[in-house]
Amino acid sequence: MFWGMRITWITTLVILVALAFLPFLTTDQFVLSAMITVLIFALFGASWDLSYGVAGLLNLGPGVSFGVGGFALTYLAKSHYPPVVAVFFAAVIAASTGILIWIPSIRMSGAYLGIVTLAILLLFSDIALIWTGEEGVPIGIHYFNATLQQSYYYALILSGVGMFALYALSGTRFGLQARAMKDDEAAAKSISINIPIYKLASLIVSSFFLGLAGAYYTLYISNVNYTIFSINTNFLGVVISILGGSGTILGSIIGSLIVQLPSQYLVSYGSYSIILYGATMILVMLFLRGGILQGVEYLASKLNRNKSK
Amino acid sequence: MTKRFGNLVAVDDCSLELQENAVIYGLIGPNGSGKTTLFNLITGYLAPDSGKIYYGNTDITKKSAARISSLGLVRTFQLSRVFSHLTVEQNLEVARRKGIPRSKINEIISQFGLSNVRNVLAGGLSYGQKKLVDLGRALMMDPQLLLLDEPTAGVEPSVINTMIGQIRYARSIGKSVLVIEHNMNVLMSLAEKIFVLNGGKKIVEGSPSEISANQQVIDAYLGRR
Amino acid sequence: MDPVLLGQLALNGVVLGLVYGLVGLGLSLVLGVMGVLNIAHGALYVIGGYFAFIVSAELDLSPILGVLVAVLGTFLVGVIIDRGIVSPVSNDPARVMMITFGLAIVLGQLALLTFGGNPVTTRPIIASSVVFGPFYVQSQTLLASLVGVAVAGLTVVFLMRTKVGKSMRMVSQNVEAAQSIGIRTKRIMSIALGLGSAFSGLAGALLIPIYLDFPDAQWKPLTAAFVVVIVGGLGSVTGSMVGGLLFGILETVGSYFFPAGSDIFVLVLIIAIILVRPTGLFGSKDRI
Repeated sequence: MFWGMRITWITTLVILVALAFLPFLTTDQFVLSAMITVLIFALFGASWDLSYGVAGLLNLGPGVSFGVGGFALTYLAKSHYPPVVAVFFAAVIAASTGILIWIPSIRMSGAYLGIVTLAILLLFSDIALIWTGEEGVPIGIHYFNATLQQSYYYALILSGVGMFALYALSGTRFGLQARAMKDDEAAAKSISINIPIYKLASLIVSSFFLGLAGAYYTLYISNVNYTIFSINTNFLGVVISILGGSGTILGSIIGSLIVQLPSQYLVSYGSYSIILYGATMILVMLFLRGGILQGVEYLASKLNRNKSK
Repeated sequence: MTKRFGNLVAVDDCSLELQENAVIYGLIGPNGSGKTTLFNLITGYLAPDSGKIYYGNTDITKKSAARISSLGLVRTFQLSRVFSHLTVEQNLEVARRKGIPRSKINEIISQFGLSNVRNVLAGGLSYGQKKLVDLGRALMMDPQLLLLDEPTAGVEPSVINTMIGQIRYARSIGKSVLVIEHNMNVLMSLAEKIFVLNGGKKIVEGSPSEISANQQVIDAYLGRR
Repeated sequence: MDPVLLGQLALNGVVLGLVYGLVGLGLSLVLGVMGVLNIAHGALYVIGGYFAFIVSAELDLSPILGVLVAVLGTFLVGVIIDRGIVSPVSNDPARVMMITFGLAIVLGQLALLTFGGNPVTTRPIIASSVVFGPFYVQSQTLLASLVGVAVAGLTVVFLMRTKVGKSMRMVSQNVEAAQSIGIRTKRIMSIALGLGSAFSGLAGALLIPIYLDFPDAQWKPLTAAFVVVIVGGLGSVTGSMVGGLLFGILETVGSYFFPAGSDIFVLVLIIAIILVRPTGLFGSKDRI
């Protein structure tokens, strides 16, 4: 359907299957923990892609849902809910932020919506700082007793299932109608697409999965503070999705690998990696709007043409 | 209904009644006479300053555009509004409502001569093909009343013929159509009853022969009031 | 609640607000003429401050020269940004937002790498305070606000009376129409982004002696500019200044009562206004 469906999901499946074997190939802590972050942010990007790449909503503050998922998890953890339950319910709570973002989205679009969502992100960052200070909220060490390998597999499953769920959704009638809405709202109305409802549904689903990612991330690092709402984290999720391919959902796994892996190794060059993210965004938006997958699709069609000659 | 934009009265106490089913009505008038504004009012894209709109027995004056189209009142737009990033087939699929079989998509594609561009992104079609997709998409909704805004504008003769055929076919299976048209040949061959607007007001209504002989209509088009 | 204290806070807010109005005016200009939102607008405020810092603190030259260099420098940066990365995609506002978002991140990091994360400051142009009865105001801040008002006034004159200004207004209404009467729209847009950026840089250069400058400082002026654009609406210079005043007052009063959370009032304000009047309190639906 979009940028060569088959290439997209086969590539993703191959990558995820390959990643499943990773712990057998290496016990290097660094690599495994780097990959956990890659997987979590791949889910972040994929979730955001549903609201932007598919439904066309310029939500520049997905960090809100991600962070709310994180904070919700800590409170649920403190109330002694088991981790699986806590992560799920944290995501449900995060889904409610979708409603918050939905309200301005009915009346405004494009630039203005982008401003408001950024403003909401800054707002949450401030509130979190005031409420929980710089140390934030820790989770007891014994709450989530998992080895690195186990954490890795949880991340893989969560991310993989999440991304494919989002992908499947984007391929349903709902997804198609959301794309139509993105393309031309007035025309969409003329074929009975209820714009406010579609926007709400996209944002709630997107926020749910963002919350899922944020909750697990918080679970994994056992702590959360206001920096989960930072512009840099927020931006990272967005650029991952754009790099992988806007609208493809699954492109985020590729985006996350490309953007994050080098920087995980260049941890001492943290600032440079952030510049890289920014530059990546600029370059992709200028030259390769459909991201990596568009490039792949283009190459594939060239190869096809050569074959048939 | 009446609709003002600032000091401009676009639609001035204008009343239309489409009384019978399975009739093709025409809506004509010089540029700026309020035809498209009237469409926008009827289909819920604009709210009238005064007046009411009834669809059957239902007051649809305040209903949303999406709701109105789901009631069977479907419109097209003056400039083509296809979903450029969706294929032709997807453009039709996205308009398919519950209860309408997928086979209808194939029907429309073949009837409209779009088989060879079935999987092409609609943004890459010629203008005539786009307008065919617009019409096909409207028909996918299985409407009771079709409002077509200048369907043949800017379109090549072969496509015009296809459209005329489809409009006639729609009528033959019980649908009503209200067409805004500037192409008098098309209009006269299709419409059974015509409304004429000028300066936001309805000045005449009648059959094609009555209208073409009417001095007021001729004056309106020649710019005399 | 001590009325003098409240009055002082309000005064601080007004004075600061006028400067923020200047920042917002810059963003409003860009949004009006080009239809795009420059998320790196706050970064230009920071860069303006750093220009002034280099000239007057590192090179030890006159602070006035520092401000002038900041204005010219940020104007040039704005033009380069337009030529390089905005104008190729100026027809797609969402893309421009993403690109300028990326740019804001990059510029912030570059500033961090070049100047470090510690706040820097310079000598003010006038180092004193002005006293009116029980109230006082830092001269530099007062100077900045007067400059802000002056620039706003000049902007009105510029837009109404000069050829370039009138061209800008035409471009803001309809780009194609402007092109068809021979206006070089690409050039006008570059000038617009340059000017908008210069306004932001000017504010940054004027305020650095008081409020210091550091890489992450870009988000506050950006938020202020948002408030101005949203409250003031498009096309209204007065509206921009009022928006700035509103931001300034809320900021200063709010930060007295809630030191860490002054932004909250502002942000809630933005959201509230958007819900009630999406076109802004003063703006019209058309652009300038």
